[in-house]
Amino acid sequence: MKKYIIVWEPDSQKGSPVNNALLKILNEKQLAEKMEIIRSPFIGFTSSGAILRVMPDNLIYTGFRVEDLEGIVNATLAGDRVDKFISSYDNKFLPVEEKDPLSRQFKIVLRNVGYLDPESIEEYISRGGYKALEKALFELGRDGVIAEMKASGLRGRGGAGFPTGLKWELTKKEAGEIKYAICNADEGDPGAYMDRAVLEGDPHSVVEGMIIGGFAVGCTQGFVYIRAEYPLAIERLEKALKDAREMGLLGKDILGSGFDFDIELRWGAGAFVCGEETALIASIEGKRGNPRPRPPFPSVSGLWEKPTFINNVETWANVPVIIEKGGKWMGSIGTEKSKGTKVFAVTGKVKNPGLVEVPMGTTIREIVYDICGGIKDNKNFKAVQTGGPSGGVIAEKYLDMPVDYESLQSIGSIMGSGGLIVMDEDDCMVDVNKFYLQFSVDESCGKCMPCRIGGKQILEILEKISKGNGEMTDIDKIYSISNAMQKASLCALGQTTPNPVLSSLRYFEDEYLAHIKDKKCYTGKCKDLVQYTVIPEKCIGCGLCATRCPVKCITGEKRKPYLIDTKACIKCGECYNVCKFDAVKRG
Amino acid sequence: MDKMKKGDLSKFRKEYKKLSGSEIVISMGTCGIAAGGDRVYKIIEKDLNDNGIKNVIIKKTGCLGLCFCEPNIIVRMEGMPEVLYGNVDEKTAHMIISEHVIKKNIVNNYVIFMPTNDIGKNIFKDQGR
Ligand SMILES: Cc1cc2nc3c(=O)[nH]c(=O)nc-3n(C[C@H](O)[C@H](O)[C@H](O)COP(=O)(O)O)c2cc1C
Ligand code: SF4
Ligand code: SF4
Ligand code: SF4
Repeated sequence: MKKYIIVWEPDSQKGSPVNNALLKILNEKQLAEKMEIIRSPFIGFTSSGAILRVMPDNLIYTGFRVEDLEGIVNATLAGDRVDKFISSYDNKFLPVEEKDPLSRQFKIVLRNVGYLDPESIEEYISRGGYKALEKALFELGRDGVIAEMKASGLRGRGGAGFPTGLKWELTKKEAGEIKYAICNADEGDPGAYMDRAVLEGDPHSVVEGMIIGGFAVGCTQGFVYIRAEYPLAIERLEKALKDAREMGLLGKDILGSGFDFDIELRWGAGAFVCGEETALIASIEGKRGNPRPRPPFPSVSGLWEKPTFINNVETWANVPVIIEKGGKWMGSIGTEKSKGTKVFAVTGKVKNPGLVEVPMGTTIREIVYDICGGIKDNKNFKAVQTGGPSGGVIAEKYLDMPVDYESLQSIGSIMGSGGLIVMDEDDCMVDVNKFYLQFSVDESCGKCMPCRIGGKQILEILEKISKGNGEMTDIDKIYSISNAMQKASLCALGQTTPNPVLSSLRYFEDEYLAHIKDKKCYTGKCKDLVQYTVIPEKCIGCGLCATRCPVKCITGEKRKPYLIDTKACIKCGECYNVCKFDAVKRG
Repeated sequence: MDKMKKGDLSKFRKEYKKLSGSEIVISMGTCGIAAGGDRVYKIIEKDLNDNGIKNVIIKKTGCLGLCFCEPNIIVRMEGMPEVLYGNVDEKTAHMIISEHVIKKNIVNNYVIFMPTNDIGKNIFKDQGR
């Protein structure tokens, strides 16, 4: 078979030296029949130097010099390899034999997403689907399933990280004939779309997980509470339910076991607070989606006052794998207290945004730089935000910290549902937090006072600071309002609304102080606190800024310093971005 | 289909045959469709038809997570390595059929990307592809 060498070179490597050298070798040796060189802008991960991938041998080379290429070509032709440059990952958090040494990712939840046809139950079954259900029904029994779930150490992926096996056990223990299983598919965090990808790409994994859960806990009815904004997920899920019913995998007497279980969809109208479990239950009951105090927890009194257990989409999708491969297998992956993998939706100022699934314990550096290609336009990293409006920032000094529930909490952020927003030097912390506060203020259900009024107050303080009217006492006010919200709000929405602000104050206080004391926003995001001026000594008078300025407020003569009319300037920053001579000052 | 009973699933898996060894798989989650995945699907379907190619099946799948280069399509042709193309526009879609499928040449300057082999790797051992 013909050999293919796929070449990736970093942007910094101008003129594709590796690709050209390979083409030259091919030409000189007249290898066109036997080998092909293919350029690729992304090869699955990135590195500071070029990467080669040899197919069909499936080898990856890194850390070589141009002089080494001939050796690699010769070895490839001979069906051999040059060991010295072979790249492979050894992740200590992933000790299983199924791992792929070529990849930092490991796909449990996304095992089928992007691979099989989500509308074909046949494909799902052919890839081992519903095997776990059969094992649960006929081998493990109810207690066996719970034992495996507990052994796996799986914790809820919806944000709070409650041990799933324990939740199931608590619900199972409750007296009463009627119990309910719920899948929380309300995914409302800005920037998060892991659950949508799972439901659209592999709906049966969630359906199978729910049937197993229903069996273990002893219920006959499950609900999926799904956002109406996810029409394709709804369509595919409905098809999955129908197909499973037709095949005897859902409904009455599943696989002839005598166990009955069915699943219905309930649509959510897109209120963020309806993702909170008690509000979600109220919403399914047809009531207004307001949270209520806990206890009683849903496991005691949930949907229609019956024992109820709620898990997130990603949590459910883990279940069949745990049952099939065993709780011990899952428990071997990850850190001491956080087991398995986590799916992150990486967005923001990153070169290759997307969905990644990594073992717990993977660092932010590996996610942002190795997998997602680093910061866009080679700007400087500022922070990563996890946990959305309930979470916080991870500053640069924690780039190499293994990520799990505990480590994130210890630095003032949370795992959250998996949204991971990357920020660079151009992002202003005050501005970013205005966004999160605005979100929480909009989504507060208004039932309790600390959340309804406190959030609005903090938002107003941030607005004041961003306009240049901040005072030092404002920082103290933020702390005391936050304290009240954390202590006195009814549900986690209000309790966590201050988190993003508090965490950014912890790591970026100087930025707040620059806004308050110096009345400056160095990123230029707070328009009232920035001025653009031309530095005459640096300006060569090329006129580029003047042609780009949208309001034409830059004037000058070619080859002489230009001048910005600061009164007319709308502070868009275009001149600052386009000037090649660093002659526009932002400050 | 009849309702399955205990043991029927493994029988089903044993008897399940892929329709063809060669296939083109298009990522069609909401994101893929928004990026033009459905248009690419139609072009590929039509080009396969117009060229009378029957042994290559076309499938849709969910989001591969490679949001920065959608639409993505995976091309698996017998005797060739599996190739993943990213940023597939209409022109590239036509070329994938005329070059890759018909002439067995990987569309060089348009190959955006090769997969890591975790894409589609099955963690259920006895179900390797
Ligand atoms: C305001 C708010 C919004 C929430 N939104 C979601 C959501 O969209 N999806 C989700 O799974 N959990 C969400 N949760 C967490 C749920 O209340 C609950 O903890 C979770 O569904 C339990 O499932 P798990 O144990 O599998 O994580 C939210 C919680 C709060 C307070
Ligand atoms: S904390 Fe906020 S969202 Fe939660 S119940 Fe109170 S007002 Fe409603
Ligand atoms: S782009 Fe820079 S160098 Fe050119 S005129 Fe404007 S300020 Fe001067
Ligand atoms: S910031 Fe925008 S509006 Fe102001 S001078 Fe520069 S280009 Fe013109």
